[in-house]
Amino acid sequence: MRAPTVPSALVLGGLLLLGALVSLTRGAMTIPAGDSLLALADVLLGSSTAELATHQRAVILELRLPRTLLAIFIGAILAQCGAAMQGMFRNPLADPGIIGVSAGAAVGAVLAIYLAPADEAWWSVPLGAFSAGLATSLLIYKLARGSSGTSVFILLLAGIAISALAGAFIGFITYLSDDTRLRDLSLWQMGSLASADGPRVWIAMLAFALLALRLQRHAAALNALLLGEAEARHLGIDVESLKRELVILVALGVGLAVSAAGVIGFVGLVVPHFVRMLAGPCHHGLLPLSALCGGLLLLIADVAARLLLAPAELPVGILTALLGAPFFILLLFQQKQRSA
Amino acid sequence: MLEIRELEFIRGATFALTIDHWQVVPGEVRAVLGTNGAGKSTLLKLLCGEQRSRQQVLLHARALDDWNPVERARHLGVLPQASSLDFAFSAEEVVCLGLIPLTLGWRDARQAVAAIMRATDCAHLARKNYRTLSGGERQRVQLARILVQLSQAEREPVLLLDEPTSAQDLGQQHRVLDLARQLATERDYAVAAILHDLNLAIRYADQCILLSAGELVASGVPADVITRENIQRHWGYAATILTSAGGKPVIA
Repeated sequence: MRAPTVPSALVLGGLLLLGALVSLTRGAMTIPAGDSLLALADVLLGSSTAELATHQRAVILELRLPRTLLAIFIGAILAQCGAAMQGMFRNPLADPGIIGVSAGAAVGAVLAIYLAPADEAWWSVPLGAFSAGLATSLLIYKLARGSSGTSVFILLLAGIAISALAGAFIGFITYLSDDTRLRDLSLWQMGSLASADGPRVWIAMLAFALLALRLQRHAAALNALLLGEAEARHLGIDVESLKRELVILVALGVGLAVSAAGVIGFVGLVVPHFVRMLAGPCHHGLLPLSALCGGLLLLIADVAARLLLAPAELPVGILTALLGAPFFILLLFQQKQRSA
Repeated sequence: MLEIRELEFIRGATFALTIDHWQVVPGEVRAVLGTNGAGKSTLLKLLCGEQRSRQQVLLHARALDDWNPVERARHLGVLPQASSLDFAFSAEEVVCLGLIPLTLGWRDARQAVAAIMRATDCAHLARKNYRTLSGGERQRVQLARILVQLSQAEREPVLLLDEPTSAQDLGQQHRVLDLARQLATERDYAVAAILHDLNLAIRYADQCILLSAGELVASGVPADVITRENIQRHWGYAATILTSAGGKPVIA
């Protein structure tokens, strides 16, 4: 039985709001929840109702708020990239992490962290991640594409090869790095949203808006693509230009997510799957619901990462992997049963 | 109308398909016959533009490439041999994909989809998961999708069927070809179908062509093409030709 799209969106939206409230009001430093929210209202309305010290206000507005927003946008971007990639490859197991796009983007980001001066990191790291992610996507696409469509087998093998190569490369750079860079790199690699700040949030928001708008425009075409490329072409869709745009959009989204928060696995795989089970595979609903659900998942993971061992912090990538990897194994079991 | 002239298509060193002239005309069902590897599927791919050759295929006297892709989709529909789908669409959602190139409003669209699903004998499958359907049911759902796609054509639509009866049981085979026949006679569809069953070709086709090793070796009304000699020569089978009560030949 399928849940209709609009009520699902309302429920997910409500949960997202709730998650955002928790994320804003809870943390290593104890600040009264009511005052935390008033501080936000003060910024919006220009009033001064919250009774907070300057440093408490700063924690809310300069740490928790950007971090909350970044988690939501990055989660939404990753989930939509996953949905788009699964549609493009016509396979529910395709995910930017599994097929190696994230690993490729990580190489670009690591190179940028290593080579570029720290004060230019806000643009050099996303650019490096995007370029390397794009190059990787194109390589994988060329590799996996045969006369009869895309080979999933080669797709997954390409993912293994590229991830291994990327891992070796990143290991090499890590070896060359000094102590402070080393710590930054390894933290970043495991995925963390701790670096959230104004510019990063803005970039993530703009990228999400672009991605969401473009993908939604192509929702019908993505549905048709699930039938097969020839079938989509017969339905009047310019399949080649569609795929080109999808590859670029996904590289953009993944590159940005990786540069802002490191490699956060499984969101792009688990979320679209869950949404399909909830509301069906039609992309008109799948894309927006995935965005909501992806934002929610990463937000929950980040809150848990901050609170579980407070005041220390877990890398959020570990949590999404803890949630996502078993789910992936479950999927493999299902596939096995289906083909048996 | 779909027309090819001086078609010459070469693949590798071993396969060439050459046809001087052939057309699929409105109001008729034309069958493409031949053994496996004779070039039937290649011909179909060339006809719908999936495979390219030097000579352009003409759809209503205009080269396929010169058509706006969306316009073209409304006039040329292709039923593939088998369609796999790894996602849990319902049968109705698959049929609704045929609406993509159309400009129907919501109400008209729903009506068109429902009417066509009844006509193709799959209305009762509407809510079922496409992946749980049998091969025959899938093919009928796909046919419904393509008929939806062609439902807004401004000129006679062309319908290409790649072995539309391969996964159907006896009754369904006849219902599918009956429907094709009806679309041709009553609504002026131009239909071309690859058929393996010669008896079905005799019964439902107005004209047929016989391909052998990439060449068009016979064409005309079914009774002239499907002869004892041709079957012996191309299929290597010594057939007995009976005559039905209606005076049509029956291959046994």
